[in-house]
Amino acid sequence: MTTSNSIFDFIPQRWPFLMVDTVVEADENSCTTEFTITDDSILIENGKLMACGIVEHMAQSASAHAGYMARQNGAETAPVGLIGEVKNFRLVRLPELKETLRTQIVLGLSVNGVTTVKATTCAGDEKIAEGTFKIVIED
Amino acid sequence: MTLKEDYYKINGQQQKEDGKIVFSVSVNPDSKVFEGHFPGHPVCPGVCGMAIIRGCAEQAVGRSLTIESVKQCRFVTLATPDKASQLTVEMTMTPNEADGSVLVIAQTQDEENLYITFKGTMK
Repeated sequence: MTTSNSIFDFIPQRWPFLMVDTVVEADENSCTTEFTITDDSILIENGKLMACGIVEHMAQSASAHAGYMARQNGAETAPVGLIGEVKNFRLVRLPELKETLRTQIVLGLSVNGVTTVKATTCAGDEKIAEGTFKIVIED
Repeated sequence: MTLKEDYYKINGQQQKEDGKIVFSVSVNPDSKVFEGHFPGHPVCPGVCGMAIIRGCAEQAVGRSLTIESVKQCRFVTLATPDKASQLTVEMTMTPNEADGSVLVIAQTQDEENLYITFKGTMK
């Protein structure tokens, strides 16, 4: 099977609302994504990514994992992932323009198309934020 | 252009006797957010709903705020810009003297639907 590594194949979000650049690695229950913050993103404020932007980046990372797995299993289009719930999100600091975020997604329970995921976002070795999500993947 | 200039506008703010603050907010259906979320299929991003709640809290306290924690934020109904462009945000704010943060409990709705319930701290 040919596998693509283009983020456009994994999630349907596009500029100026695309908050993941690449899926760095992925297996069935986890993945790691990267996103470099550029000034053409709409969730920038005063030279920093807004907290909402980090939340969106985390959710799109989870959605990219679902899209990556769907493509591995032969799907031809990227599934639409939506946030059902954000819980226990904690911000350490707002990341700045040009910083590269690396986010690890670990999957928990999945019930009726709703998947619980834990997201941890770092810049270099420094933790930036963490949170737990319920992600709804539409068919 | 920032989200505040492009995506939404706070049109009114009312203090209720029970301590709640009620805001009326309109979402711009021509916002460039919808070019990417999603192309040809506009859906209001949940995080933009969080940004509106933060914007209302900022207006209430008269200074800028950052969302430092989200205890729980639920997206109850899918919002699209054609159906959910006029919103009401109801909020209670409890200052924490010790660390200067504010506990914000809010919900966003219109006459038909409840869209978002939010509980978190801002500073």
